[in-house]
Amino acid sequence: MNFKMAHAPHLRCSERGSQMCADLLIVFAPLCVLSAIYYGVRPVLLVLTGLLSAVLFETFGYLLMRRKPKISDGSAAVTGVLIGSLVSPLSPYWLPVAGAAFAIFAVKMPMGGSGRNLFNPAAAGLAAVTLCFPGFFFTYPDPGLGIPLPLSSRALSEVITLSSPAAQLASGGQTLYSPTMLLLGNFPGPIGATAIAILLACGLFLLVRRTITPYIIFPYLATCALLAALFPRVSGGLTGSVMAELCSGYLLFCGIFMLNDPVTAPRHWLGRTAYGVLAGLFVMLMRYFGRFEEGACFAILLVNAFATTLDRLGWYAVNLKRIKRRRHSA
Amino acid sequence: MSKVEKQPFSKTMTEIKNVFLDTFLTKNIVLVQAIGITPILAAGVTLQKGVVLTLCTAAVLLPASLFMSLFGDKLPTWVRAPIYSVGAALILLGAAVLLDRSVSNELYASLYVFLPLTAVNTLVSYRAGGFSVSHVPVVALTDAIASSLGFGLVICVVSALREMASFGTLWGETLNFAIVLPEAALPYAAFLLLGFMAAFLQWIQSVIARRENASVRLNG
Repeated sequence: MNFKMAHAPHLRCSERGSQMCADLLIVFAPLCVLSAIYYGVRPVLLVLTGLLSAVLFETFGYLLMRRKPKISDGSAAVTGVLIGSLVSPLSPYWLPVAGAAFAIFAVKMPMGGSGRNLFNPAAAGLAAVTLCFPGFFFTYPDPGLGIPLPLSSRALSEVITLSSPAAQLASGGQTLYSPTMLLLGNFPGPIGATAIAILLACGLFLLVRRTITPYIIFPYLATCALLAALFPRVSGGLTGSVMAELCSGYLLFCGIFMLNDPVTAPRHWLGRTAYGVLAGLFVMLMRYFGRFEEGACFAILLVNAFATTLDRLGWYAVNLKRIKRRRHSA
Repeated sequence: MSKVEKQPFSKTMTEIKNVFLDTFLTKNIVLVQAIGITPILAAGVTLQKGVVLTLCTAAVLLPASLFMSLFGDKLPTWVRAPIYSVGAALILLGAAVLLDRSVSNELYASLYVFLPLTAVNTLVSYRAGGFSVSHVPVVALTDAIASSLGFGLVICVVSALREMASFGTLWGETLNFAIVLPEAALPYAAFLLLGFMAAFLQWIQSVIARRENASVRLNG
């Protein structure tokens, strides 16, 4: 018989990482369902393609490195699902596969696999496919059509497309979408990032489960809202501008799912707060001056690079008194 | 005095060999020491540009290293950088005229600012201003040659791959590719390539080190 030695607080707790990933995967289910209601089975298939390809690539990567595949921790599955849910429902099936391949083979595996990546793999994969195939991004079908999208990619050219709220923000003028429409997700956008009400509920669930941390997400949203209020791009009053900026594109989605990635985010509370503020700043700067209508994934990659520095600075700022006292006594 | 004026010939030869191998390969100037990355990112887009930049770097680095090795330690530190930068700029002026008049006007136009920028490249300031000052001319020249070759190897590989990926050509000749990615000409593609090449170099070195360890264990 084998007994496991463990330290004092004998809590029954499963592996934290895999549980977090399981939480995230549970949360994606309602988002997929809502997308299926608007567009049929196609978006669900796209998300599943992303998931399967990411898991497959990670297995292959581990075998290539002659290590035992660790698929059960679920991080590859989350990466795949994140990429799959941020593409347009009109994109071809190989697009999430290409994104997952970049995320796993160029960002995750060379750094040593799960838990060691410097940058968020999903954000990097998405950024790579956005840069390489910009034609497939930012064209979204009309959700008010009520007809499911055709499953084969050939018949997609006849689908009516609409400009998304993010594109309207980029071009300026009057916003066409009321706050209710925005909350219900009744506007063109990426597969998983439109249902704002569901996203908020998901965020609350993950906050309660402590999968995501309030120190990052609240400063992030507050910075975005502040910048949207200070520099509005649409004529719809203060609330209109803030609502449109926060709900359009994948600002909220990236804030909930990518920014809180425990591997790439800082660990200190002050570092996390600064990280959130910086991410909000970068996202809004990308929107105001960037080449694309939405640049949240680029902003997240940028802010990932600052994570370690912010962590250290936060720790120093909090422990400054203690360090000084120790120096004086020494 | 850091310079050794007289030392046995065989010792100098070993030093030359070590310096060459280190700068060119094992501690590659770009991949390990991360010096002179800017022209690779910005201008290493086609193989022709890569070769031109390699030649320009060599043309600047060789005289600058020789000069600094001969007179560097007689000059005060604050004079050194202006001297080799101005000298490098003068050489590049000649190179630019040569390239424009007798090689290709288009190539010169497409390189525009990156050709004169070679004068203030960290490659020159590190090798000519740092290494050469404290070494004898032969070693300094070897280092300059190895630096140019190491830089040239990396920029040629990166620019050839980027040219094939983004334009579907190599040295201006059209290749038949089904997929062409114009975005490979952006700097981020070069960053990725450099990262993978650096990792590949480290991997090769770790394999060699492991084999050497194994043979030492067998023999000892």
